[in-house]
Amino acid sequence: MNTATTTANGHIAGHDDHGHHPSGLMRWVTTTNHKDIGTMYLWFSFTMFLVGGCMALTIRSELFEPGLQIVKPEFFNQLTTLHGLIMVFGAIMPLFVGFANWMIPLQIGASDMAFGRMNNMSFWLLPPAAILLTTSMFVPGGAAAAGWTLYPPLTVQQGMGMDMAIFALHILGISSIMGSINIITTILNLRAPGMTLMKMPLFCWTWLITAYLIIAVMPVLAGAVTMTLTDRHFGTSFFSAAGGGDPVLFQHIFWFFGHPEVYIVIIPGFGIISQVISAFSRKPLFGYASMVYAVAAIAILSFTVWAHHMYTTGMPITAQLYFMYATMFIAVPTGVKIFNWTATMWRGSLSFETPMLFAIGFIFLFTVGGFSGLILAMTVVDVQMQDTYYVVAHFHYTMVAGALFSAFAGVYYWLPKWTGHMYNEKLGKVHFWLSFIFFNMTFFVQHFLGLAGMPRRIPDYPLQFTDFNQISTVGAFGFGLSQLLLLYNIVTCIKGGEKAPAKPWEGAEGLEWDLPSPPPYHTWEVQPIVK
Amino acid sequence: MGSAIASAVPYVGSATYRQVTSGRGYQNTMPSPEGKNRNLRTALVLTAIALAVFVGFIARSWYLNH
Repeated sequence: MNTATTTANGHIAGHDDHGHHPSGLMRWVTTTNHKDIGTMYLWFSFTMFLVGGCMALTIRSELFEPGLQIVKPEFFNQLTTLHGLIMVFGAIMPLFVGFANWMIPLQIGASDMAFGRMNNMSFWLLPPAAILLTTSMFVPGGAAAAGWTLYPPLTVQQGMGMDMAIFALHILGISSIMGSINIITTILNLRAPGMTLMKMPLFCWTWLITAYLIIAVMPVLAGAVTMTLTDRHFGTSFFSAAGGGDPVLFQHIFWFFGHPEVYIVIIPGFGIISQVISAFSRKPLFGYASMVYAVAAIAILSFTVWAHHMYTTGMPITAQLYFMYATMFIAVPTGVKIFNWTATMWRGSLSFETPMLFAIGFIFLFTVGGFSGLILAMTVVDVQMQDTYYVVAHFHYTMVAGALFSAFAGVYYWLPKWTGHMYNEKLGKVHFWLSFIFFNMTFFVQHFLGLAGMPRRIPDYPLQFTDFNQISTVGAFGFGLSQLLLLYNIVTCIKGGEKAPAKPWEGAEGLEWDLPSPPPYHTWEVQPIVK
Repeated sequence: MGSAIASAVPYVGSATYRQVTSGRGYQNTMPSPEGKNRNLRTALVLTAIALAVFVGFIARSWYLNH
């Protein structure tokens, strides 16, 4: 290893000595470098997490006690809507695109992404969209307040904040599609010689599948909001019942996008978790091929279950049965993945550094979210639980635990590679335990609230729901404040600390670990040969 | 580690970093015109799919309403 690594690194480091890349502000504005763009995506995502998180904390503050304390009901609705839109489109999706930009070229032995300029444009579309979304709170009529699902007729009736949200979604969608085209082209065309598809690290596989999902469903959302826009301003009646349109049609179209979207934000996390568990178990991933097929199966099945979000709109019993069974069937490939991760750990030489803690936390929490999803898949249960806090608890277990915990695992796993310094392990572990405890404190009790019948998207509630709401609010503040530890750890890691070796994790495998930490500005200019 | 496992997870089992060589590598600084064309072709196909889905869903909804 050493000879080859030294030779490869020596060559790369030698090239980096040329130092011919822009510096200062223009480096970030004009960059076409995948690492720079990945870094910008990650920081943008973190910023949006803080913005969306502040909205969540305002919501939880209002719900600390029954009655109206802090915000007016109409503003409360705007907060829930913007929180959802910002977290899904402004935070989680860019977060994983950031990971993709940083890691995919390094992992497949490509010098950069296929389309550097388009990559730059994909990123720089995000800030205007974020500004549109957040500043829509200050326009007459306020921000969109129909929930992140943007159901008509509310969306047809609301003020210009809705137009800003629609425009922002268009921009975010275009950015996502361009990013996906870049990722697919990079993976299909720029792999190093010998790096066959079935030799790729699982993170690349999961992103390849996610990128196809994005290309298939983001245009569906774009179509839905475009039709909403024409209903609002150009006299059409796609969804307006007053003009002969069908509001439920929007729900069908939205959820045809919306359910695959859930997997779009989770599947890249599956890839990260697979690599982290393999590395800290010091064992090859159990069932690599079955993992690939399971992810592909989940992606395909995600197109077939959309109406389980709409049981209460009324549909034939055969349709209810179909969507119920199809939804439950997704548990099969998901179970394959959980089984494979557990089997990878079985008799492994385990160590519990921060990435591994987050990976195990992810498995536990995602399984809880999966099980509550199975419960909600049952039509007879769902008609009772629809629009209650049980649903809120379920999707936060899948989205926060699924996306965020896997992203935390990935950040700690690759932070030494990105920055060239080791992070503070003790602080990382404190971050994990606080996040894990406060996350459960926030969302587990919401299952009970939902079972007791507390509806979601309300700023006030009957007295009997107070205790669980107070626990949830305290947990939310604890979870939010815990993330400052992550920020501190990252910043100190960037500024200095113990020098990270090229491969800081004994059990880690893959091309990225063959590069020095941090990797030079230009990498893999001479492609490696994988045998 | 058995050979069966290694073949199922070749990128892990065979420890690719041992097999990375620079001397026999391919120059990758400037994509060849052929490579650029291939990238462009892939991108255009994907763009066409996205546009078809976008237009298709609007057209379908229009048809359902009339």
